[in-house]
Amino acid sequence: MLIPPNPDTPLVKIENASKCFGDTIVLDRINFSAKKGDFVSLVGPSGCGKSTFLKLIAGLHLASEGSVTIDGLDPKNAREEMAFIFQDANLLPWRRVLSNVELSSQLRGVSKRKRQETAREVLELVGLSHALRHFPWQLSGGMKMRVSIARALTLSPKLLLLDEPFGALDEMTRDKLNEDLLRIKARDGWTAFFVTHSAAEAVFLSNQIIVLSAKPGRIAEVINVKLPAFRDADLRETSEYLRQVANVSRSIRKAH
Amino acid sequence: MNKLKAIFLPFISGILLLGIWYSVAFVYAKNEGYEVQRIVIPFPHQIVEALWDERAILWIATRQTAFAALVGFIAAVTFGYVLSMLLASAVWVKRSLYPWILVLQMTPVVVLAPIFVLWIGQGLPSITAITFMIGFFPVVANTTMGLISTDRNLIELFEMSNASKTQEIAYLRVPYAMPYFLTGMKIAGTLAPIGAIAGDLFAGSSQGGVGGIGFMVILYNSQVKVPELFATAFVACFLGFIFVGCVNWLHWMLLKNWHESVRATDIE
Amino acid sequence: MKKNAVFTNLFLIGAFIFAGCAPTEQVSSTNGLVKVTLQTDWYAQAEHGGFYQAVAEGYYEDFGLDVTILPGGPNAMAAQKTATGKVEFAIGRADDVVLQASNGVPILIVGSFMQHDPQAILLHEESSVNNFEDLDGRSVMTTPGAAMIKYLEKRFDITIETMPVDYGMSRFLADKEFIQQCFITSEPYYIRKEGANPKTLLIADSGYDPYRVMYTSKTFAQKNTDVVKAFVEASVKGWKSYIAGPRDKANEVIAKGNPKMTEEFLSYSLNAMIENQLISGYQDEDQTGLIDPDRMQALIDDLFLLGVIEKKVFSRDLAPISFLPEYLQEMIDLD
Repeated sequence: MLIPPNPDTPLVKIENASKCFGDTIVLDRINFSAKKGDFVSLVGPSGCGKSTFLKLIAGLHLASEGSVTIDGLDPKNAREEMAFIFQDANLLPWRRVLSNVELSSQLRGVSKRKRQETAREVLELVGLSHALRHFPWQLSGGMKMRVSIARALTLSPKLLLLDEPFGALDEMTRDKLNEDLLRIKARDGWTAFFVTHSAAEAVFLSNQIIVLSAKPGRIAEVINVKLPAFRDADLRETSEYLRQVANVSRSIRKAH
Repeated sequence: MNKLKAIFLPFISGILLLGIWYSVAFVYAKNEGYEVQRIVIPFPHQIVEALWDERAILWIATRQTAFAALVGFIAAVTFGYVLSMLLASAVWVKRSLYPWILVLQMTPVVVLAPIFVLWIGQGLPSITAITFMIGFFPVVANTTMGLISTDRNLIELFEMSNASKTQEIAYLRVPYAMPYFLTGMKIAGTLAPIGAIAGDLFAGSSQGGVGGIGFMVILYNSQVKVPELFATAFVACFLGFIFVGCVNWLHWMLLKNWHESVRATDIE
Repeated sequence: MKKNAVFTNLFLIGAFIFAGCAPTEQVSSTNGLVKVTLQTDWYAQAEHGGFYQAVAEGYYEDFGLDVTILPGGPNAMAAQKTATGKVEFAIGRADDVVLQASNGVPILIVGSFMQHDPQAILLHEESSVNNFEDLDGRSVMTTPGAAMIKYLEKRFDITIETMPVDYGMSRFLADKEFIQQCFITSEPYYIRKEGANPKTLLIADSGYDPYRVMYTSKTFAQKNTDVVKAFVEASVKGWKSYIAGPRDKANEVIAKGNPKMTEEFLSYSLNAMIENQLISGYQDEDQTGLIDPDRMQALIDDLFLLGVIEKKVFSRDLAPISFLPEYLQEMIDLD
């Protein structure tokens, strides 16, 4: 008998989690929960521990104190449900696009036929069907990031962790990718944690924004973004959107 | 235009160098006599003549040296790679072995040569061992460096996919270290003919008065056959080019699709 | 502008090369003595004793010469130095010098100092090799391309593998079947010192019997005939005197130049030279310094037959007797 999941049960639960590197406290007593389907952005001044926050959830770092659970599991045991998208696209330069995307499923032992099928599917989703045989060096920064996203999507994760993925891209590419990301989320319904420097990006994507203060990293404020669930490029021109961006920017400045 | 220049300019400078050589040799001959000039700075045509006259002997010598260089090189690359895997497998292995590999490397091979000869005998075994000794360290140093310097982010990517240690080595560390390994192999390839010739000088042996290239150097020198000495230098240089050429080709073939070091030269 | 710089550099390189090539045939003289240099083929040793004797006893000065002895070593390159005028005189084994001269190196043999070469095959007493025939199929550590090996191969119809000399004895001492070349006057002494028992096969006994000779460059000989004659005569006098003794002063100089030369070792070498009649020859008559053109020609013919030298040359061209002291020349006429 399967117990139907309670929609209010948190998918990610962080309780009193701290992280120290040596004597330096990077994150100090963090408490936060995210429900299924949440899109949570992490913003704050540099050095506030945004990436560390994300890696605690991923289980790439272990909490020095407190606990982090995903669906009630230890992060290391919940890897099947997660995908991590890194700051730079992190592709293997010796593999073509298609086999880069296949990597995650290959490492999990999915059959070649099955994983190629999935890879083609997600590559189509991110608009890269024409570049299957390309090597990473032949791609632009934006295309590389699309490959990286495609790779993350192959295993149909419940939780997507994005570590400032679009930081190095130009504004137009970044906006386009933001829109695509929301389009894919609407289709797949995963939960996301998204690290960014940009208040505008955070507002555009999220329903919740965590503002971290620096040294040590603490949650200064959690902002609920009150914008319609369906969002497209036009949203950026609305005054409500601009007001909220200004609001988040102010909050980040205060957190310094 | 550029291609034309690439052929034309070396051709012109070559002619120029030849001219300078001839005039220096000629002036020397005027001062000292042609007999002395021949054994100090022979004319290029005298060298070509010597090369032709000695072609049979030099061919045998080159084959011998090339064989020793090849065997030593393959041994250095194979053993070097295996050792690198071992060194990269765990920090304690590297900590305990690496200093001793360094000690071995710091000992000049000329000092080891007589010991090799004492242990494994004159001729090919020792020459190969000397070539191996010269070539294997660059392979080990570079490959180990490649294996342990794998991008932290890529390792985390594999970790996120719950990759096993074997998967990490096969799909990440080994390909990642490939350019490093090939750089080591290139150095080993450049050194291999030198090692084989040096080995020949210390441990060479001959049948019917023909040995490897190093052996011929001793012989020609003792007989004051200077044009033949230059001819031997020419042959040695040629052998070096062939070796380096082959290794570079392999390097290019394996990396042409993805690595900067190759692509940079590929794209004009 | 840029092109000019290139040419200037080339010119400078050219000038640099020429600077090293100043003519050297002129002999300088100080206080009435003609200054010349003798390049030997090895470190100071009893096998050069006569030359040191001639210096120590003032024979060279008596003949108007101021001689400096330059000890050699593994890379002495004596023939090159002599031909290019860096030294006036050098010594070596006749077959080597003939080979070099026939290869076009402009040098001339002007006298001998050993009638028979001390070169020998060095073996352990226990070795299975007892004569030259037994060397068949064996490996011998010797100078690459040594003509004596070719002679032995042809004379006894055997094949010998060679490996270059490492100028050491460790491999010989480590292996009872090891075979290497030696000087009968030298290595056996060391081997005994190390507690092993050597036996030797003197190459001269095989029928291959080159002189050890003094040589100079052709140009020097042409322009300074008297200097050459004086050098040869004084050197021969030095050798006779070194064999007869006393030789303390000469030995002192040798020991100073080569600390390995103990009194005991020097006298071992001397005895070996006397015992084997290396200096004065096998005849009753003292032949020290003599070059018999017939014997020399026989050697040259052997070298030609062995293919060591490619063209036929003549003793009278390579080793003219005109530089020998008169009394030695007369000895030849008597034969």
